[in-house]
Amino acid sequence: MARIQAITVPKWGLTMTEGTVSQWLVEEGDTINLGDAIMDMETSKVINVVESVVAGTLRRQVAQEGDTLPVAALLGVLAEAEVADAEIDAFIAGYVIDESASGAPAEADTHDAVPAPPPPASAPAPVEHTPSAAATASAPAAAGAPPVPDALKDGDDDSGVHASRHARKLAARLGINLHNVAGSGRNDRISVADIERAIATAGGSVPAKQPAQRGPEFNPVPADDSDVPATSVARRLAKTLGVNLHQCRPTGRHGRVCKYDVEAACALLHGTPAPAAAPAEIAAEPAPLPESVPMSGMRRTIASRLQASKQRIPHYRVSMDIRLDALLGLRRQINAGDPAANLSVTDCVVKAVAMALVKMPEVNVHYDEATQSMQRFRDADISVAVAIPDGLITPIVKAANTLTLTQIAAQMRDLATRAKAGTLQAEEVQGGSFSISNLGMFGVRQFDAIINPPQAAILAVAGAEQRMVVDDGEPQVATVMTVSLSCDHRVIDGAVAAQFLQLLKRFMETPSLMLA
Amino acid sequence: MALSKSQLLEAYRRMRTIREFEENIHRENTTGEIPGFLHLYCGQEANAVAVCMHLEDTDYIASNHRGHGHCLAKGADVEGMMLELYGKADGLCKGRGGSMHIADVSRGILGANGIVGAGAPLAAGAALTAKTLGTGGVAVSFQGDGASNEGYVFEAINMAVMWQLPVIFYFENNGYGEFTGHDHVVGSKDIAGRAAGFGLPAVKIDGTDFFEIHEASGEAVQRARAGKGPTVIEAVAVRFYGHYEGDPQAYRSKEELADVRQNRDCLKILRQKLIAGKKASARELDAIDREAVDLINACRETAKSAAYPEASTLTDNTYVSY
Amino acid sequence: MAEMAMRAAINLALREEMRRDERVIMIGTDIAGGAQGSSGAEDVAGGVLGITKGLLSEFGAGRVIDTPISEMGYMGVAVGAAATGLRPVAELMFIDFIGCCGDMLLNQAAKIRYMFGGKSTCPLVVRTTIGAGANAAAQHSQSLYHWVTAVPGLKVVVPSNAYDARGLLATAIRDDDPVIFCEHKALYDFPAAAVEIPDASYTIPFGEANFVTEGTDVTVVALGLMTHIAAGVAAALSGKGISVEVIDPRTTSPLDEESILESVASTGRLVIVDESAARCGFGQDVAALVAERAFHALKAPIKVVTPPHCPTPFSPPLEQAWIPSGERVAGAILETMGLDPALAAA
Repeated sequence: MARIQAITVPKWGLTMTEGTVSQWLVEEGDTINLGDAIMDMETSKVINVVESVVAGTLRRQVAQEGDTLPVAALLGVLAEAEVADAEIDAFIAGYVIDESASGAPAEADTHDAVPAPPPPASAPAPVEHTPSAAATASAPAAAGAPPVPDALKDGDDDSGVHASRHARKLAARLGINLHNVAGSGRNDRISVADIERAIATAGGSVPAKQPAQRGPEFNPVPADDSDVPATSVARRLAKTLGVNLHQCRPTGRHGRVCKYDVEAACALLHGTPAPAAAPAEIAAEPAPLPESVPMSGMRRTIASRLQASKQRIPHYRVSMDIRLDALLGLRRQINAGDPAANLSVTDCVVKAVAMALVKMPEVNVHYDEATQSMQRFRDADISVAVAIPDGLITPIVKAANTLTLTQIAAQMRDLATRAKAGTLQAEEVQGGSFSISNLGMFGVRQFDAIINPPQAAILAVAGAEQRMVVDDGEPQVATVMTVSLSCDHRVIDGAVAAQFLQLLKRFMETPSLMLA
Repeated sequence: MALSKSQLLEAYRRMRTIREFEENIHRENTTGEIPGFLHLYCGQEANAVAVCMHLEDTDYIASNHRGHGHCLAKGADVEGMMLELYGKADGLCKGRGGSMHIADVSRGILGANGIVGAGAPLAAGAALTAKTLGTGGVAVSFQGDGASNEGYVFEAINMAVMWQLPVIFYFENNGYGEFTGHDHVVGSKDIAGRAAGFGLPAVKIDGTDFFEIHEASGEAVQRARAGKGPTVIEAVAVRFYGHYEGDPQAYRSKEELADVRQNRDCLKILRQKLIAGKKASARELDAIDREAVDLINACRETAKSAAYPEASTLTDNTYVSY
Repeated sequence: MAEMAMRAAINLALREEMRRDERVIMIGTDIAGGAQGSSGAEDVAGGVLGITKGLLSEFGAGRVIDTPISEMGYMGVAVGAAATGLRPVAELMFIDFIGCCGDMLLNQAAKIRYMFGGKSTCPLVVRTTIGAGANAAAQHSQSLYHWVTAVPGLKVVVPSNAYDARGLLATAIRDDDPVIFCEHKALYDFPAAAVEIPDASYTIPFGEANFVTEGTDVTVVALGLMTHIAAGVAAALSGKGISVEVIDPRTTSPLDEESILESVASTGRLVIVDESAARCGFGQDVAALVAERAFHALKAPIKVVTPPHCPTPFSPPLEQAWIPSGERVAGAILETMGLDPALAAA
């Protein structure tokens, strides 16, 4: 074992090029074992713990909190007690990053601050045409001034040159002599855009514009954010950027605000450049335009119907867990006895719902808002949502209460097949009395559905999963499914909905009742 | 005021050219190739020509919506006029003005005008320039009986009297302001008599008689040049066509329309007087007629085949652009 | 250098231009005043607001022409004179009377150059007064510069102080196209509008805004008297840590769009203080400009402070309530900052 060992910046994932020291978790003199957590480190994506891959005594914390270092850079030095400080100094001084380990050029750590290489003269950088200096004017000092080609800097006193007020300010800030800029404005006046154009033409780069953040900037948040849990890097950055930590959404471990959160908040509040992943209400100009997707007729129908439903119907939801062990057993028996039956859980739900609806016709209703009238149905015509490319369709199992499980299964297969083939007839999708939407096959634990008017209720069926349940004080494993009933409160009251779910639960948990 | 033979033939030529110009437009308008509103001067040619014979390029006229005759009489280029009416790039106003706003300031024409009566104060302004700068110039505003009821025409006459401006307000009373008879809207039924109340010479003459017009306007111009102030002339004239091209003139009797063409055509009257007075032979006048037809036909063909202005020139001659 | 009220500065500019160019004449009602009264005294008024006093004595009745009360007539005379070689400065006593001479400005002066294919010009200046505050009520208090700004072919100037008025009027008179020069009557003797002006004649180009104050938080665009209200608010708010940039465009046509856009790009917030109109006015036009061209820079909705959509009232307390007040301007600024407008009163 080497007498002196290095702790270096790990490479968490292919794209990681650098990390920022968030916090040392050990102090100089501590004994480090393999796998010990020694440091919190932030990358552009995560905040993570650096675990030691070497063992020994921490002799030197080389990296300081807040340092941003490339992969494989030296963080600290382990050595036994007998190793002299001078030797450690020499080791640190002579440490060279292993390029193969870092996978990135050493200068990557400062890529933010390094000017973009000037484009070749034959290909001048594109010029922003928006007459805005928002980004240049409000960019934090950390981003630096845009690199200005020297050719624009020389010249005699330019105080007599005709320039707009903001153009003169910008030129002064960038050290540009206005004699080197051609004015395109009224009376040949130089504008901010003219300066930006001159910079680009001379081979410099102009910072991209970012949309400003709308909305009140002065949220009533406590000025003192010292009690907000945050990494030390985040806290320092927040101070630099003038971001109140209360305004940051914590995504770090233990609910801490990390560097990324501060940057995101800063982008949101000040319109300063945000990390690529930061959400922007209005796309930042340099980003590729989103693809424009035409709305199909079905999409438009779904959009308008569901929007109207959500806006007009006073929805409320009631959920219930249903144990499926017995039902799954019955299904197994039927499918084993008659492989052609091929009964699915959805088929069973359709049957159970149909039976419950017949027993509780208060839920089996249409509501006509225009006439303020209600229609109650004797049979359960159940609309079952089927996902198809670019939308969904709800074929109807008619009078499902009169059908056997196998008849329902056969109808469902037929309807689903033809739904996907697009050959359903209009009457096969119009006029159901109740809807079921099942997303259980995707492992969804619970969800709420939007009522399909003029129906007054819809059942959202989530996935069956094994859960720990407590029966008579005894924990045991059961297969459980959560169903949620969305109801129109204008015609179905909460107690009715709850009773309906009770009934449904009874049929599903005691499936022999469905055969009765 | 004695006129030489060549002056008389030139007057006839101008009147004939205006007549042919207007008749040509009347025919061609049905092809749909001439854009916009057209108001024809047929029947009134003697007025523009006789008045303008007294004017130089340094004198100004301000015309009205029925302005083709005034402009041609004042020396506007015939082909340039035709091109302008067709909206072509080489028109007098580069296709920006058209029939109602045709102008050639180099010929002392302050433009036809789409606003009834607007020429009166403009001409007074031109006269003010002449007086202030001592150019010796005079200005004439041509307007109709309709414009005689516009308040600012009164204002202009009053100021011209106040300041003794070298201006002539020439009212061509063709009997109709647009569709409405003169007698219905001119309360005193007498434009010249009403104007006299402003304190200036105001005469009423026969607007179908070239010689009478020439005489009266000559006196007025002389007076103006001599610094003796403005004059109002009311010339009782006739209008052959409707207010605008397409006006069926249901408000006029067939008898009246036939009568004005038969008995009150200033061109016919001049021709008869020239022949009767042995100032010109029918052959000479026929030759002028043919030349006028040829000229107008040539101008029409040029205008029809000429290029429209490029859309890229749309904002030429604007001085604030965004 | 000497401090001069706006009234005197305008008079000075007129004199200077008349001395410089004998084609420059004055025409308007009572611009000298006193002609053929029983006292025999002339040049007693210099217009109802005394701006042109003394010009008759210096330049004579041939160049300082008192007209009848015939706005359309003398405006037409001025247009005709302008088209034929003079450079008239016509006075329209109050811009409220624009209806009495509308045709000559809208259909004649504004159209001559374009309609005649560029072969004629119309070097006319119409000096007129705008603005409320003189208890002159509904027919003598309007600020209709937005009407004329909407007409292609008219240039429109709205000076806010003596220095600008003198330089802009000189530019207007030397300009070959018609200019409507709108003088706010409250500014003639307004102390803050009386500023140091140079001894020698000078011009100020059209379409170039003046930055009354520079600031970083909010851009305020204001014209004429409103410039002074905005500047006062800016000074008061700087004490609360709010940095306001007040821009006086000085001309509404041409408009210095660039300065407004560049300023909004730097502040992200815009308040317009405008006496013209609550709808379809100059303020709404600037708001539309910024919404159209600098939407991305806006951090908050634009605020436009105007009088209410009602005629200017006579009674002094009502009139004061009508004119955009400093409180309303401050409130609007605070609102764009996401702060309680009530703070303005504090």
